[in-house]
Amino acid sequence: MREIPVFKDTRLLEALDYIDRDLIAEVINDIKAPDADAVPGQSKKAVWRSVKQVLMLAACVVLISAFIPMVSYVIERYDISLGGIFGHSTTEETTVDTPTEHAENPSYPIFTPDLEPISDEMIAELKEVWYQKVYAAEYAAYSKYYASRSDLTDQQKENSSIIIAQDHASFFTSILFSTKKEDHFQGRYYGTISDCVIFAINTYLEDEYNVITIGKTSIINDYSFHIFAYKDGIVKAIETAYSDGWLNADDAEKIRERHNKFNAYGYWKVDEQKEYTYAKFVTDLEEISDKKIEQINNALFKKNYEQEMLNLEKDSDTPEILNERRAKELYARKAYTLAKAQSNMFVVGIKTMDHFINSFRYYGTFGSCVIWASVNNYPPQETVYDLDWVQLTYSAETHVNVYSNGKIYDLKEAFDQGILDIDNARKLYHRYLTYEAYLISDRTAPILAFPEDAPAAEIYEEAKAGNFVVFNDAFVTAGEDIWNSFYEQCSSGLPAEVHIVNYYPSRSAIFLTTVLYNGVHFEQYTEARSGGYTNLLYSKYKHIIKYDGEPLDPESAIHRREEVYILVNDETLTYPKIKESTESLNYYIAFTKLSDIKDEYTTLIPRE
Amino acid sequence: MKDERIIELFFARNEDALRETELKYRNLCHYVASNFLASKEDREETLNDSLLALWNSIPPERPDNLPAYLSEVVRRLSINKSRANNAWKRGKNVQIVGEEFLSMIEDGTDLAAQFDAKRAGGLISAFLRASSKSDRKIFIMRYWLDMSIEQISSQTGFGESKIKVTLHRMRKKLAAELGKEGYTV
Repeated sequence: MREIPVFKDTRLLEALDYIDRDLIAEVINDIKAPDADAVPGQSKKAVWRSVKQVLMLAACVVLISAFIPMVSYVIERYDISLGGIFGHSTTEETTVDTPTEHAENPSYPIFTPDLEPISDEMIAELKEVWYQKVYAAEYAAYSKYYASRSDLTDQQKENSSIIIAQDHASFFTSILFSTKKEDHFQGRYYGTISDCVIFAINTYLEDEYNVITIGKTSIINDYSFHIFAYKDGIVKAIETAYSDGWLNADDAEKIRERHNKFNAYGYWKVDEQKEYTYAKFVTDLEEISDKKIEQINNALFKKNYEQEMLNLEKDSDTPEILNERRAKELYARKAYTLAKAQSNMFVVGIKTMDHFINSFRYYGTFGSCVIWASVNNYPPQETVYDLDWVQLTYSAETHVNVYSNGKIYDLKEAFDQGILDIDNARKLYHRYLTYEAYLISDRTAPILAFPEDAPAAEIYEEAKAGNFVVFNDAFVTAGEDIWNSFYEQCSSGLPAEVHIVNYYPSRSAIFLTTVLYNGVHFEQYTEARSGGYTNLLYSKYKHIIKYDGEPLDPESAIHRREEVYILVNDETLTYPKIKESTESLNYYIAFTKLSDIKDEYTTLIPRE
Repeated sequence: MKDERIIELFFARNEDALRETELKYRNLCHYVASNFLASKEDREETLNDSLLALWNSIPPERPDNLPAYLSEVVRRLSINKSRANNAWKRGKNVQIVGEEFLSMIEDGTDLAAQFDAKRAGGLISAFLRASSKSDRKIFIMRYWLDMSIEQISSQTGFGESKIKVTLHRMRKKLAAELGKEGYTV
């Protein structure tokens, strides 16, 4: 390993501060920044979805406020029904969940009339098996995160099943076989095929399983998931079920068809009788044929191929880029299509060229043009598409593509070149809004409301008199008993809730936090009010750890003893480890009590 | 909202400017800051400070490119905060990247006593302009944004070995360029 020399003069680093801004802009504009508030352990796709939700929320607010006059004009001029967008349609077919309705019904049930019925007894049996056995015996083999546990002996697996089940429960949002919200058991039932109950679950593990291959069948999802088969007390991943003879090729195709149906860009809605039906967001979306998908795949490959060739020209000595001969061979063999079309969306993968293009939303076919949005690693393009008066806003890594006559265009490019006209743009915009209206996050922070314009000092005083744990800078000034009771309750595995107020008089900043414990995991919601604006933060944690002892830097500390409670996901973390780590860890210090303050610092203690 | 509109809000002293900037660039700010600061709280504070700095500087400034301008502010404040922090609160790349950049200077070499960082910055800019777009992107990501090789790879799609080789070559060339201009390296 090359040794880094000890440098003598660091002034050269200052020169970096004076690099011309346009050069910086060139890079910054291309940066694909992940969600700053993402929960660790979420897959890349899940993180992306969160980014998208936040950005879409922002985009929707901005768009709706900015475009209301415009939309009104369009309604008047073109007689468009916006019921589908804003959820006020009078017809069943075009009703879209409003964000509020969605928040009240976050569980998406799974039964459709054409699936084989599944009995409550079978659901209960499966749940039991899942919690008790599956995680250790099957799932571990599929996850790097738990790779170490796959080495367990059978006896150890048996012994550790309960603990692992708890881990599992906190890692999956849910596995749904019931419409009961409190069940925390959510998933998707694909039917009973060849005597196997087939079900899918979404995962928030680090690994992504968005492509499952069983024999010649590929099943694709736009976020992390996996599909399992259950029979006779045993759950197997469907690949294993297939190789073990539980399922055959026809079964695999059937599962794929059903999966595609579920992914046809619809949503579940519940009526007054608590019946669930599946509805599409965009009811008039044009079907897309396999042949068309094939054409798009060809064009995408060609585009990537040309890009690679350009890279090759620039860096002929770069070994890891695919060479020309190999690329031509792949192109000739069409060895690049990873998957068939989904019913209403499609995923194109060119794995061999190191490009995986995940086309996540099909906007429809407009004349000769197929339009879809994708997340890809092309050099990023504009994320705000201005098409005359139509404006579509996306997060940085999203691109809208147009396929026409064998070529792929960027949306703006297609519009500027007249491949799409304003009528197409209007229709596209309508569909864009319909999708985005749905994508507003269903997360509502259960933070006790204080008036938005209330001064921080006033909130602080009010909180001290209420049922809050209150801090003034580093010092706890009220609610220590409330904290202790919360800790005691969650240590016993009982659901608990606590409200924390952190007040920083020097900055006039106040942080209002609610920590919820549901018996499995903690959720932290923080409303940060500082400098005249508010920021909402959300994180999820699995464990709470406690430190009680000397401060870690006893000499410079103002105190001699401290008691610290930290929410973490990795239970092996300790307070000293967190403090010493140079890595970016996700944790939340929920409560700190400093005691035995050194004499010279007693003046720092707030005089209440 | 378009950047031009956000800047207009700053000029109108409308506080929505802050909200809109944060909505649009919160992730970017965190990303830039994360390379210098390990703790989320520190990054959050830096974001707040950066927004305040924008409020105070626009007007009179009217940045041509808001995200680049904001990133400069976030970077500067993050570096300041990182320097003030104990080692455990610093981002993991800070020291490694700094040392790597300075490795172009031979051991024991001091720059000229009259070193002018601004002029050297101009020389680096000129050097980057003469480089290919992908090379200067890698350079800025590494030495200006303090990104890890892995992060650069994920942002650009280039392999890690290509990135390392590119950086090595660029350091070598830059050292020669600076040498020509009288900086002994």
